Amino acid sequence: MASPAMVTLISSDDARFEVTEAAATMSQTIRHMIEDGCTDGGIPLPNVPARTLAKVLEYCNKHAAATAAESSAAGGAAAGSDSGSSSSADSAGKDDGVDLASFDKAFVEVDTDTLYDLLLAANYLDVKTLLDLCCQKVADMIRGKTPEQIRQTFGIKNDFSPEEEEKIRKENQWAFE
Amino acid sequence: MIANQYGGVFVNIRIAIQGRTMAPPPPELMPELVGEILLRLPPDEPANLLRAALVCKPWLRTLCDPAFRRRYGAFHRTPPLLGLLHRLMAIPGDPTLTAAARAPSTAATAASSSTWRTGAGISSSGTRHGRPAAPAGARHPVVHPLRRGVLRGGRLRPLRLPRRPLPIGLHRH
Repeated sequence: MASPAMVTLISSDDARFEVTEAAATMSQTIRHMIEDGCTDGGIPLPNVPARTLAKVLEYCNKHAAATAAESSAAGGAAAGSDSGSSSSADSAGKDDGVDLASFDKAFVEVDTDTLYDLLLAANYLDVKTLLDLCCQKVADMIRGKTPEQIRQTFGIKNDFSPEEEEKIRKENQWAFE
Repeated sequence: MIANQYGGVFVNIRIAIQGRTMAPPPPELMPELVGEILLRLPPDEPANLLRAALVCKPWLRTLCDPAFRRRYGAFHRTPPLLGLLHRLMAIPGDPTLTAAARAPSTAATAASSSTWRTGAGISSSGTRHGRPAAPAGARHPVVHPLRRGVLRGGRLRPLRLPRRPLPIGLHRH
């Protein structure tokens, strides 16, 4: 690819984002829309606000650039400079696996609201690796917490009756210590 | 006037609550996302699954769904729980656990040789990954949570339980 194909994405609050097709099609939802020829005038994403879409695209740009760099490195000695992403400046000569892993780790170090937004967006846009990443992060946050701490962290209402809860707690005391 | 006073109190309470919790609760997650998240809880500490089941009824339903349990087994390639020692059937009286077995932690109890003792004097050969390991040939039945049956003598037998429910309803029919 000499010049990467670009597509325009439109967030729920009408912000426009121009991204490479390689980054955009990490989303299966967008891939299908492109395949169906629904790209004229931009692709509307009515479920994703600009703030979240920007973050998702940061992820997609990084991963698409890493994939491009990997395939160009595998294809020969050519430098992987055709990705067009602002976040791929340091791609040459690095261990992309380690780089991506640390990027992913830092990427989900966000507050709970942002993490929820990312989770919902990744689900709607069907970006599998991002959905995996967000789900794993939430699971890590659940790990080691008591039911009450989990409810507080994620704003979940306790719908067990006091009797039900007491009974279960008594029977499974070891899990709550 | 009185209404205003109360109104003021309520506003103050709300501000105090908001100040403490810092942010409004995030939106509720869709059931399929709850499943995706709970699927990723590590299997090495079954207590995580149990505590998650106690968060709310939708989470409990998700964890008790046989389809979820099949996926969990496939995702982690091992069952999340070897079994539950069912004291109603096997052991009269309350089990008394040593500290290591009571607070399962992979790091602390993996391959430890602590004894697991019950009120009836039944002991095991230690714990593995936080779970009590029974000596070979032990006769206490273990309820297998993934297949509805009782592990006894290394074989799965049909589950016959008294009408009292199992802990946290992991036995859904």
